[in-house]
Amino acid sequence: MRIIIAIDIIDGKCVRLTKGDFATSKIYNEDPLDVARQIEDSGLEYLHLVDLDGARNRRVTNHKILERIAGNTSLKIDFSGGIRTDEDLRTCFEGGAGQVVCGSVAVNDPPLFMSWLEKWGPEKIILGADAKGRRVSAGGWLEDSGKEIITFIRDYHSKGVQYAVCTDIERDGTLEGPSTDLYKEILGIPGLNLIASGGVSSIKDINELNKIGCEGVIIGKAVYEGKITLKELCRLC
Amino acid sequence: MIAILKYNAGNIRSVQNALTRMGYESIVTDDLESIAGAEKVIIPGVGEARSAMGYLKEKGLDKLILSLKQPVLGICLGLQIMCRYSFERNTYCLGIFDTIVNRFPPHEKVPHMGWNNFSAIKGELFRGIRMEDDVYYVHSYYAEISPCTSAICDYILPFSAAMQKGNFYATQFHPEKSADIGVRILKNFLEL
Repeated sequence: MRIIIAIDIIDGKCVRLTKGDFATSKIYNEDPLDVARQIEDSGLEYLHLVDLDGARNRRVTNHKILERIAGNTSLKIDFSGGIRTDEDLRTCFEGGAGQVVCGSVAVNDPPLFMSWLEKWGPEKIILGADAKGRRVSAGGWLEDSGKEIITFIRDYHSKGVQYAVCTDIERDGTLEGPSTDLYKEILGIPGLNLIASGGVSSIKDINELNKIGCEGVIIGKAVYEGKITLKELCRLC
Repeated sequence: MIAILKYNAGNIRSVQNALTRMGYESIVTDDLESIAGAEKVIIPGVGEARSAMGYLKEKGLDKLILSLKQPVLGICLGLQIMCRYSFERNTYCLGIFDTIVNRFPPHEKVPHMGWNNFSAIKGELFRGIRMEDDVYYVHSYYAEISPCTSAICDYILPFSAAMQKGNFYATQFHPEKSADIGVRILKNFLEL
């Protein structure tokens, strides 16, 4: 299972939120590149870079930070937050993103999402399927799409999506453990690569997600709060 | 055993991880004997030509590399230091490929980053690869087209996406970051 470390950005700084609420934002480092270098130095390979300003502004905003990290580390970066147009998407890929995660467009503009999937392929376009309760959220997690999460993912998987990131918003940033039951249910979709996100707080959580068959796990606050060290994570992979 | 050349450049571990995932054993080393005795040698690298060459010379690795008979693969900076000369801090390089490394003119965004394709691909490295396949690039300097060029990418201007001369192979892009296509290219090299 791939171990993916999250860096979320507001105002150019590395932050964490609780349950996606901007009011809870806590700054962990002024310089995201500094954090990325620590991740690289520990021997880990994957970075989940989230442009929270972009998610809020509805357009990619912190692409300069993406460029700095892609140009100065060897991390494989998936980028998300505010990707709404062809131009946003190009900006991300030209900025060095290896993959992008698109949630809002998948919810609000399926034809556009499908055109991206076709043009760039399912290894580079990841479905963002973030849920509150069992319903998919979009627009920086502020909009309830009304769509049921399993149906949403199954439908896109049948249309060619191979990778989906699923964050349980109610768990994100809480360190209360991941929504293993929800992920088990999603993994009932045969052939889907699922990346679990939200609530991971211990090595035990990670082992559990590995056991149920997740392809990747995103770890954020647990690392920033020192519950798990990068070294421990490196030993897992 | 596959030797991954250790020198003062980044990006070495990600190459090793890629090989491990593919089921190949490798060592990261700058030991002359281990490199000379390896089945295959990989020279990876993200970094800067002058200090990289300085390190190779100090350790006597420059002469050793030139004497190698087994397949050698240079990646990114690895390709550039296999050329004759780099404008990056005016550096005389290994001279395996008789071409020079220049900086992209600032007409578009430099560095050239992310996914791009290639054309005019030839040689064993590209067995099973199609020209429309995308690979992952990150670089501000490029090797000019030469008779050794085995793939061309066009970004601002056409440059060598890959090169080959005898047992020396090189890619400007990062196969270890290029998903399935990259794995295929690495596999092609490892099976030479």
